Amino acid sequence: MEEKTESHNTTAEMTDEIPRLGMTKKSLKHLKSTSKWLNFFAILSYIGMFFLIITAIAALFRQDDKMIDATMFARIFSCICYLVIAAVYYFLGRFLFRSSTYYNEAAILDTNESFEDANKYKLLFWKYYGILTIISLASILLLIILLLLVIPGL
Amino acid sequence: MEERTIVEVADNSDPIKLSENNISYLQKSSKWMRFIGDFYFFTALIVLIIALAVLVFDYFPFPQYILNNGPVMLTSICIVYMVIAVLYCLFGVYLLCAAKYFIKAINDKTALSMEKALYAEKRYWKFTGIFTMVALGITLLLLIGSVAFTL
Repeated sequence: MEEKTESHNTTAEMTDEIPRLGMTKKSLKHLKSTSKWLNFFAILSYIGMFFLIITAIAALFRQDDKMIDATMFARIFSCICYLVIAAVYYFLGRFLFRSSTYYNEAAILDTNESFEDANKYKLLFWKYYGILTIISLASILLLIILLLLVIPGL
Repeated sequence: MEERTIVEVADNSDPIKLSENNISYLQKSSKWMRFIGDFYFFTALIVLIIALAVLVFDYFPFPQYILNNGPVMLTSICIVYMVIAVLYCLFGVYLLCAAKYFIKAINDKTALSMEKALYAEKRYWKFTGIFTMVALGITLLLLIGSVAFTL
């Protein structure tokens, strides 16, 4: 009985010490569920990164009879390109994984700190994704313009 | 268990105690989410234009074996493009919904509006996750099929 009272007091103290966000039970359930999906995407990103690194290594050591010595530069260039894309995947995975971890923490603790960390990484992820989108769009546009300039009859 | 007891006390109409940092992060991420959502719609539009171009002009730089198979093949390709466009639209709708609800949650600062925002976000990730799993499954099947066909 004494133990129970003690435990109750500790809970009360905890409630006083750590200010809760005051989210509903359903909200915490949604946070937990989102955390799982974010984790899934983080794992996929890391798998993608792993395959890209393998492709980069394969591109560097590819044995092709048709290739002459001059294409060594092309090999290194393609390897670097794959590694750059692998780095892009790494950061995507990292932001997603961190976001997932803090979402899970927020679902358990329901504190401002944990929710703040989750939102910080969520912002980083969307910002990163947005900048990548802008870069891709600009590259496509630049490629189209270059093609039109190089091949006027296109 | 103790935490659950505390959480159950929170009611839908209760105010939510969001910190300044939280509000700032949510506002900024909502803007980026809106941008990506709009980009999904833009992509859907491009894909739809390609689908219509396939159908209307009856020609597209496809391999000769596709063009030889006539209108049935082209119509099938057009339908596939349209399905992709619809999927992109759905991605956009879910993401824009989530962004809109987060902005609403920041303004209202109630537990209910935050619940709606988190539900919208979960819905987007769930949809994207299921779509990714289906796409990966189809790719794997095609890969196995092509390997089996070659052998």
